[in-house]
Amino acid sequence: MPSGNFANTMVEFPQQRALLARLQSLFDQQAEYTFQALVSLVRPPTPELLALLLDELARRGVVVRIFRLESPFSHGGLRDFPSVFDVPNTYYDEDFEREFEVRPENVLPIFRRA
Amino acid sequence: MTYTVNDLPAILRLLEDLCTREQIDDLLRSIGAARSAPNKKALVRERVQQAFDERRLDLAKAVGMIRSAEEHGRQHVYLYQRVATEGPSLNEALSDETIEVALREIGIFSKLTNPRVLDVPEERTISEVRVERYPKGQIKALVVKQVEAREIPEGKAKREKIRGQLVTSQPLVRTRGVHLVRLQANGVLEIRLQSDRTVDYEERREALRTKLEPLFPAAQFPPVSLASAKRYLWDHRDDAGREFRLSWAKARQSNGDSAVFAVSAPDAYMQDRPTTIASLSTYLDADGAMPDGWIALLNVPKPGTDDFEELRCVLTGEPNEFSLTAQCSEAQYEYALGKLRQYNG
Repeated sequence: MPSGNFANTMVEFPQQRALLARLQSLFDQQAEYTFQALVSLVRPPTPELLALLLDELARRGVVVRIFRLESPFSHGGLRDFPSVFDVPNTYYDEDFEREFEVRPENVLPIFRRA
Repeated sequence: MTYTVNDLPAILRLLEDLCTREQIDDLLRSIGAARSAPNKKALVRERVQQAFDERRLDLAKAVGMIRSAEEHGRQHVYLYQRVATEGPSLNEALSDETIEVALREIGIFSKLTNPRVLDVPEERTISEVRVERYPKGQIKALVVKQVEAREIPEGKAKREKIRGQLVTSQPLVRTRGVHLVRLQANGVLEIRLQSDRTVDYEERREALRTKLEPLFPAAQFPPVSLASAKRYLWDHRDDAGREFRLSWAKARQSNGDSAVFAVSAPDAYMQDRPTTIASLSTYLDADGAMPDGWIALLNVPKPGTDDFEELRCVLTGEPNEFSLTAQCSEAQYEYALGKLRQYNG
């Protein structure tokens, strides 16, 4: 079972201590962020490094990654999925009574404090 | 109203399609009928049939369950209000004599005395006219019900090139559509159209209004704008008790410019998003600006409990229009309608 917190992760990844500290500070202020927002706010050396760190934090249960399906009509969130593989190919937006083919731009990776 | 064995096949199909197993179980329990069955289909086809054969089942009660399941929620609702004119008063308009004359003129008087339970009729059909009364006999509402067949696209769409054209095809499923026109004793007229992506709501609504003109003359029932309710949702967004959760907003300036604000998390309150609220507030502060549309989750009583649950309400489209995206109970529908009318002042 994954376990751990930011502090434990900083011990195991000392080169990323500053980056992890910025992440912790952000998650202390607000429950969830899009990946793009984290890139903008945390300013990692590369987005790929941030993605790897977030994967590690998710594996440890410090953060949770979900995939949010957004409506192309309302631009609001429709439903959260635990994995990108759970996201359906098409979806019916009940509010606007229209079905749409789910495209990558309709799926928002969200990181949430565990 | 008397339902006969001729109505039973349609009643059984509709019970199976529209009602939960628990609801059917409760119905059979209430009449002391056998209830054991491996699944809902068998419960309906065998036990409900058996209850009818044993003369335990009042078909009107089963029809009441169907009515409750299909007449509330998952609808677009258009509101009108009777105004005083030189014609008959509202009381006179709702008298038995006046109703009969109007129904005969339309050619549907038989649907008051001999309503039909229609499953999926070939043509759009007025299936029922009923007068709802309070326990002491005062009239509560006059209801006209229309049923139609619909073909809904369902399943995976297929695209193929045929003779130089890109053709998209999708299987169609035949289903039943139910629309209602209901005049309450207080003069509120509702036209309730079942939600469906294939429906031209304006065409359906106007066709019904035209057909029922002798009963509900358009000149006596102007539309009721819900602009005040939309303003109320903004002005009272943080009132104690939080009767509703805002999830999406469309705001419009006096010159027609518009902006949309949407909450990302499906269960979040827009009211708890300070940046969004501040932006929307600035947008609406301009002279002549107004909230043009909302998606609001109304808190409505949860049946059989003291709790509340959310009912999704979309306030967009025509000025007198709102839609409820989920099926709900009669009590929940009346509660939601009552709240919207209260917010509308």
